[in-house]
Amino acid sequence: MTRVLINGATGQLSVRAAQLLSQQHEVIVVGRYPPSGPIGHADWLTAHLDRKQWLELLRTEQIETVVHFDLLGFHEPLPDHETTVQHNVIGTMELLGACRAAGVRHILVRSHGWIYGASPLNPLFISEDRPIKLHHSRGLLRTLAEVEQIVADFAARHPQITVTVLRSVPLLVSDDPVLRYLRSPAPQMLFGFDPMIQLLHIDDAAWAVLTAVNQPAGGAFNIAPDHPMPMSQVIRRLGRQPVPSIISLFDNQPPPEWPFETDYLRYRCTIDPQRACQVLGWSAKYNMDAALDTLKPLSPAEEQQAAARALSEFLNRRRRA
Amino acid sequence: MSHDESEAPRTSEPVERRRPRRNRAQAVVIEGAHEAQPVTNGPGGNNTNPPASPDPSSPAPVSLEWDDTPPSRRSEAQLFEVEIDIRQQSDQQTGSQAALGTIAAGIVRLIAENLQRMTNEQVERVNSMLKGVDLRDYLDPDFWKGVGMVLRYQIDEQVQFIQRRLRGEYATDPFGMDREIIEVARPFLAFMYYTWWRVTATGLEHVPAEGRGLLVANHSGVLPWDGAMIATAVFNEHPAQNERIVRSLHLHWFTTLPVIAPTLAALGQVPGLPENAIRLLERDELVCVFPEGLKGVGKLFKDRYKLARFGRGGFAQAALRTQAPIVPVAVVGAEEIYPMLANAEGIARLLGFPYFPLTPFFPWLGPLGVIPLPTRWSITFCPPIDTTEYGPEAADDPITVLALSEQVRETIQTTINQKLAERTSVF
Repeated sequence: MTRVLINGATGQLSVRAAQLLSQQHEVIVVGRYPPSGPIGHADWLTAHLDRKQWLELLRTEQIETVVHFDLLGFHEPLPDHETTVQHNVIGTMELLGACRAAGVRHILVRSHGWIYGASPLNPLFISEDRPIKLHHSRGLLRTLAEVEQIVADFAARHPQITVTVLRSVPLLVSDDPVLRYLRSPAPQMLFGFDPMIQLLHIDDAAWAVLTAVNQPAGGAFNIAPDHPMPMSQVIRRLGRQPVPSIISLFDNQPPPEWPFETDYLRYRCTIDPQRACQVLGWSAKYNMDAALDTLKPLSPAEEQQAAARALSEFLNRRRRA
Repeated sequence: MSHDESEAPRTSEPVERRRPRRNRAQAVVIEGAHEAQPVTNGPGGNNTNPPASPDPSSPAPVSLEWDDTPPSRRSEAQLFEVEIDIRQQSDQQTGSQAALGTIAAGIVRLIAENLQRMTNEQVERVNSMLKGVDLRDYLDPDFWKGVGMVLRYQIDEQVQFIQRRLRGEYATDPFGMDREIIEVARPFLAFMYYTWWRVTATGLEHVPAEGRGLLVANHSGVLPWDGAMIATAVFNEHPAQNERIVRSLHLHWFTTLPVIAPTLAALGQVPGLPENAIRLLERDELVCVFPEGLKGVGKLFKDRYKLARFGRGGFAQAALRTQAPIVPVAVVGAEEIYPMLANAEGIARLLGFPYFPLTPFFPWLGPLGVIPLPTRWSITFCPPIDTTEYGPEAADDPITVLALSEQVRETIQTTINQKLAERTSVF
């Protein structure tokens, strides 16, 4: 039983992780907005805390592990750059400072599997020791690279605190910007390019958070399914047809709505989850085929099966409790 | 003159060589063919095929011979036989009938090649459609009716295939290789292999039938056709006949080219980075590398068959680290497919290409200039070099790495020189 604080109450990963963690741990969810879904046995606090208040909360509640999910861009459109920097970069610095002062032992930060940058020079599977790309020109990754640097710096200067970074590929949840794009009526791809991509089931991502909380190993972990899929195939599995865009080939401007750099439509940035497998014992339970299938509407028979499964799971959980 | 000589065997030889497995089954095939064609009432002359002499009294060796292919596959081999017959028939005809015969033979061949990719159920369907049609008699309207029906059915199947692909129901490996696309590309590659370049492959027994292995070849010919031909040789002619796919490592520059990048990936080729080579070898794949890289493909015609520097020995390092045997491969003939007289560096820099070839045909003839010259090739697989005697630590020892790299380079150069001395004509 660890005392865990999850920073960030919106977003399906926060919610799902809170559900899972609260079955084993004492969990508090803190966010500027109320939780966007049921959070299990966890308690929650809706407030925009400043430095002092953070410190007070962490000290009084004797928090041992802080899970930092409160980063803009993972599940909402980004506001202007200044606001994003203020929220993501400064927000992270304040939280880290408060954690140090309050004697938190383990900090877990969410990052992105595409932080390495898409490039023709990428090996087919990138491992964690590859340096991240520092200068992203747009989107979430622009501030996230800075956050990662700050976190790495902090970890190096405070060896008494274990800092874990989870670099997870885009999630197959309705609020993920990549999935939203791929599911839009006419998702554009660059003409003549079809990069392999990885998308992760939400349960796998939440399970990764749980294993990382349970085993404070420190360092970065790639969190992804083993087997990537061509982007065009993903779009087709989602019931759409990719639309080739020729203009983007020349002006290098990404199609509207694509939340990342154009290069992610051109080259692969697929990551190798081997370290998570060896150190945390985590590996994706859903391969991409199965994960994509879970998005399909269920037939009546399947619905019944799913209901039976959910019921037995629920009853088991009740019995244990 | 030499042109005629190469024309003559083209009609019959490639068909027999295309898949050695077929030779084994030939005795059966002919019987089957005669079953389907009880009356030989065509314009005669189909007895010229020596093994076609009917021997109805011989005990049918069907069950023994067809050990690895289901019996319904028979019809595909059967159709190849029919194709030869038709060609021989039409050779004896004149004018429009001969032309018609050529078309008929071509269509039969197309059907047969499509059959190779079909499931047993689909083959059965085609067989039932062709029942009662004498496939050798292309002057009979029934022939065209039957063949037309089969073609339409096959097109329907193609449509289903495309629809299935549009729903995204296919599988790729983690590197993006798509076996269905390979199947689609194979007839074309086989055509280039057997008919266009008439490749002679020797020493295929040196290629490991299973487990990891690193093929190291000389690179030449502006576009990387040599990789495709090495893969075709191993796929079609390896004694083990297990249709092994060679994963070639290509220049990572190709990854930046539209259309080419996803095509190469679907065909099982992988960007040439040391990490990728090691990962593939660890998965027990057969990997092919061209250590000369750009210096090899972008070689001028005057420098042909002079091996460039073998990079920095990265391939030897990968082989040592994964303890994979190295098979040196010498390709002769690919240097002449696009005689690169000069490299227009200015244009290359402008377009961001590593080189811009000027050949007698390119860029003057436009897209036609991209058609390679039909030279005659030979691919020699040399005895494998064992890397286990050095141990995986040797990968970190530059002296061993460079010595091994040099040894491979010399083996290839010697083999090339030998093959060049044996060669009488480029075509």
